[in-house]
Amino acid sequence: MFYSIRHVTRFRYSAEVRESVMELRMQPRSEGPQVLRAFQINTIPRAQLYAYTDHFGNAVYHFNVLKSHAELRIEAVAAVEFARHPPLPDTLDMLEWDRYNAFNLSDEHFDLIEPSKFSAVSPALAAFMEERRIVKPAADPLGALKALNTTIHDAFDYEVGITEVHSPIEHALQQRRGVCQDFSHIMIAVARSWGIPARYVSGYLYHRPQTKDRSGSDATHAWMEAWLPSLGWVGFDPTNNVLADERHIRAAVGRDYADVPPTRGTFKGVAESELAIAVSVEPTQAPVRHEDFLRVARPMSSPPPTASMPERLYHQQQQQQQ
Amino acid sequence: MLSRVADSLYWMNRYLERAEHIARLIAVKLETTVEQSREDAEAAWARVVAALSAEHHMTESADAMSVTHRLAFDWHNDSSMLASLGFARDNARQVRDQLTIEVWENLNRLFLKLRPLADDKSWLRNPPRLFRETLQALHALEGVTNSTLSHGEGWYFLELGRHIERAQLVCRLLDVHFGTARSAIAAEPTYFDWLVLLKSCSAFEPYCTVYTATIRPEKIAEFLLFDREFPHSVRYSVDRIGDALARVAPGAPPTRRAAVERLAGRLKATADFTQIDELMSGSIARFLAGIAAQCEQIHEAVYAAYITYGAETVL
Amino acid sequence: MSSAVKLTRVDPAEPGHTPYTNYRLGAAYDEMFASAGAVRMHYAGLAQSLADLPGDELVRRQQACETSFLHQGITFTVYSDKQATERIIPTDLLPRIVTAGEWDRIEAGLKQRIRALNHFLHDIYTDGRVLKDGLIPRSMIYGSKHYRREMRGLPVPHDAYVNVCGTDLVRREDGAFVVLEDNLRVPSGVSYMLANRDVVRRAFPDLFRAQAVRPIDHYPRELLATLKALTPVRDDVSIAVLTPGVFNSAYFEHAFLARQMGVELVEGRDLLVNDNVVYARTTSGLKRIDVIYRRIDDDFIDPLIFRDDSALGVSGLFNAYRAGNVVIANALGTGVDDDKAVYAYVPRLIRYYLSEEPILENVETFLCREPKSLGHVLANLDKVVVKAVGESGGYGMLVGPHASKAEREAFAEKLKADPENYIAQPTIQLSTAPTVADGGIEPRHVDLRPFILNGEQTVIVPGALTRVALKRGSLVVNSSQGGGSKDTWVLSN
Repeated sequence: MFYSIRHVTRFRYSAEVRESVMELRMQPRSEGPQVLRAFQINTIPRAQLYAYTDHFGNAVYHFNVLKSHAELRIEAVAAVEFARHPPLPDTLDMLEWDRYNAFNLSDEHFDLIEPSKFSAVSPALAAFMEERRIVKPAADPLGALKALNTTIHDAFDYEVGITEVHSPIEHALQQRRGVCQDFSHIMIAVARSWGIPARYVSGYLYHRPQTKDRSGSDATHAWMEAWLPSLGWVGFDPTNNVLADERHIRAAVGRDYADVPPTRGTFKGVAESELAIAVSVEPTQAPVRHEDFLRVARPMSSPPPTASMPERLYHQQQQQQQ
Repeated sequence: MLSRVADSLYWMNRYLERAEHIARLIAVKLETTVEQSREDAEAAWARVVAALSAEHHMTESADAMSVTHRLAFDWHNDSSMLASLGFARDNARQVRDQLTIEVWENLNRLFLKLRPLADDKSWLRNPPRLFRETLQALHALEGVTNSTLSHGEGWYFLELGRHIERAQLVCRLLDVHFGTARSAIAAEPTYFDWLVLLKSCSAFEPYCTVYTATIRPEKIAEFLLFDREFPHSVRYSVDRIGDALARVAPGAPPTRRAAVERLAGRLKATADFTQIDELMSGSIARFLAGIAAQCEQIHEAVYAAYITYGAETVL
Repeated sequence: MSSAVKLTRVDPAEPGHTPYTNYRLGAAYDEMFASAGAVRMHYAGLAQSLADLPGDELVRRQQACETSFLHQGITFTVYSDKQATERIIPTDLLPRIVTAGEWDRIEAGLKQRIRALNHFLHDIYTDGRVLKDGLIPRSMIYGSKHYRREMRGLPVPHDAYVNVCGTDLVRREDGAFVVLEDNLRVPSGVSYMLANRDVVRRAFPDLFRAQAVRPIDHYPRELLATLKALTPVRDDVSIAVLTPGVFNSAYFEHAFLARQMGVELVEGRDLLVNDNVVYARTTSGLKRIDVIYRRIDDDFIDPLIFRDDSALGVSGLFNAYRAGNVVIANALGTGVDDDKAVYAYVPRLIRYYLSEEPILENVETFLCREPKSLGHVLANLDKVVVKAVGESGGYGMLVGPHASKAEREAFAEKLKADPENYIAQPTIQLSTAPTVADGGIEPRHVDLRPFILNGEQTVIVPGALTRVALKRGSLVVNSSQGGGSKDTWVLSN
């Protein structure tokens, strides 16, 4: 199976800005059943792109634009090939928990088993777990994670705009509404509290016309992966109550969102920024839609670039160590 | 030199020049008020206030000492002498590593000495002496700057700041006596006021050397505008601005220097090819405004070329 | 260790006129007096000079020194509302004197320590051998807020992560110097070391010559050489000191060092990164920068990678660093070693990496995560100081001897619930040194912070910042809490 992915990000500034610096984490990963066949990034204004691999193995591109600009547009195009996911068993035997003991989890997966910035069991999450009777399961971990996937899916409404990219999970827990990022963070925190290594995946979802997905088709997507001794990493998509499969195209993994924002940037100047994102994921045989689908959206999964703030100088200058 | 450093040096001296100008105006005024009639004295104060563009800080009933306080020691008036000195020191602090210990100590000591006067009235004991001492300290600071600091790029940015400020301040002072601002003051300048004008520019003796003690307004204007050798004349400042612009940003390519140098050339031509007779027959206000505006344009061009330029334009 | 002191009696000619009337020796080791009236040999010269000074001359010189600091702008600024008050860090005129023998041991001990710490940093950012071998728990490193995952696998010049280190030593009651703390991020104070020397040399010129005090004025030159050797660039190396700016309390030091080295003093807003190369914005155009001696914390250094609200840093700097186009000293992520629990492991790290016994001991430290230590701490809560490992500034701390029984019992519960989070140390009496106070001379507690330069080579200039607690009886030497400093004389024989 082949996909063509187009991911357009556009920042518009209320006044001219200069010296923009950007990092991008949007190149689909090449591992397991997913193979990256082609990838290209174009920016307007044009810029020289550089790349490195971060400590999670994600490809990171970065560039800068010195000259004044009121708009910055980034277009990433990828071609991805999928082999079929190996079929998962419905359940695992009860010995799976013991198998964790054969591994020194804190060695292999230290970062993914400890709480992280967005994925930690807060009082609100503890209360939610009690309410939904989420306890470390006696059943096998695979079955338990599937059940957790469903529990989270059922407990929350999908609604854009309730939470922001930097929202802690408390917001979603309070409102019982949120987006894929919130659900993934919650599920990661629960899995880790059970002793299961868990990580955040940012990527793209192919919305089959016949499938009813809750998540929007015009945005990037996020889900989580849990590590099982006999299966390795298994993906769960609590937003849509499914296991991750060949519709889930993985771009970057990390402890939580903070490690993998698709764009992160700064600029110099005094301006408000407005972000528009458009994503299309198509089987390559299907015609790629025209780009006029680009429209202004709420920042779903890209934080706006940060402007440098002179008034912070004063306080921060005093704060430095020793 | 770092652009930020050039920026601070430039402003340090603009503020010092401003502080010195205020100090001199007040010192001269305080020393001469005693000999004047009440009305003349009030008009003379009005001229000082107008020359410093400080009218909005004044109230009707202000006496000499409260006017002095506002012009000199009001810490909340950004254009007071003390505030100017404070800004000069802030800028110096920003580039402390570029100054010699002597320069910093002189400036810092003067500021620390005057700063308490914002809140106590001890200066009332002998105001004329205080302002004389302040002037002396500022002159000493300038001397120390000239004699301890290398006359490299940084020094030329100091020069640029001093003379762009001075040219504008002298133009403003002349405008109060000859131009549009003159009409705002009830009384016409007397012989005495012309003397004050000269002294306000430290110009009395140099003027006499050139023109004898004959006080004639058009000669005063000619001297303060066009004398080549007197350091508080506009022409002198224009020449120093030209010198400074030839020496700053030595590594900048000719294309970036061109805009700045063109403006400097124009300013010099304006000063070189204007006759005092034309001015006295009515165009002096426009002329003074023109010089001030050209100084402002040079300021902007310098910033655009050397300080705030777009990084992409120089790679 | 200092058993070789010959005692000289100082008997003031006129009783009642001695400046030492209030000099009361306590339990602490005193730097000058071996016992009441018996001056240690290396202080004899100073004692004589002081005895020769006419009445209030000492106080007069002390005041002259303070005025000189204020006028030179060697100040830090205290901010409240819009007012900014400049204060000097008080300098006490009386030098603290270290013998050649003591110094040799300190120097050897610090060199050994910095070698081990650099091995350790290299290890935790590459193979993690020390973690695999279980010498240090992973959680202590990966859980530290100063551990920078971005540094993993990144090469640093000469494998020297810490290029400038300020290590705090204290002298125990038995006279031995022990390490209290390593400052491996952006240690400050070296400018005070140099400025104090200037002032004290002027105050006691004859004594200074007579004593054969080892010079320290070459520190800036050594620092420059250390920084230069970090880059492969050979011609026209462009070095900059990166300061947070004038409102930082150590700004004087940043400017001082830049000037003494003859390099550019830059703020983040002077720099920009284009195509992975760092430039400074100058009047003549953009100037490439090869080495940055940064005095800004990791968190603030690049808003693109670390704190995105940083107004002090340079966006894209870390990527230029990763690309090898600029050297940053100290390297990022060195703060892991500042953690109080990691400190406790340093002697073991020395044995592990160097197969040597530590020359300088730590202050005895109990890791509560170790059951045996926890038992000891719980049994001796009234005698120890317990500190939370990740905290600083006195938070989460129990000072046993000063706490009530109820406080100790409450703290014991916290300890048992989360032992990993705590360490404990016996309360130590820092040594005392003669200090001008109330017109006379009194003992005050002092520590010692030498500065270690480390790159291609390791260099320690024979001197240090001696911090002094100016309040009688106080053990707190921090400048923010009434501490001052002293010139430190290392004798050449």
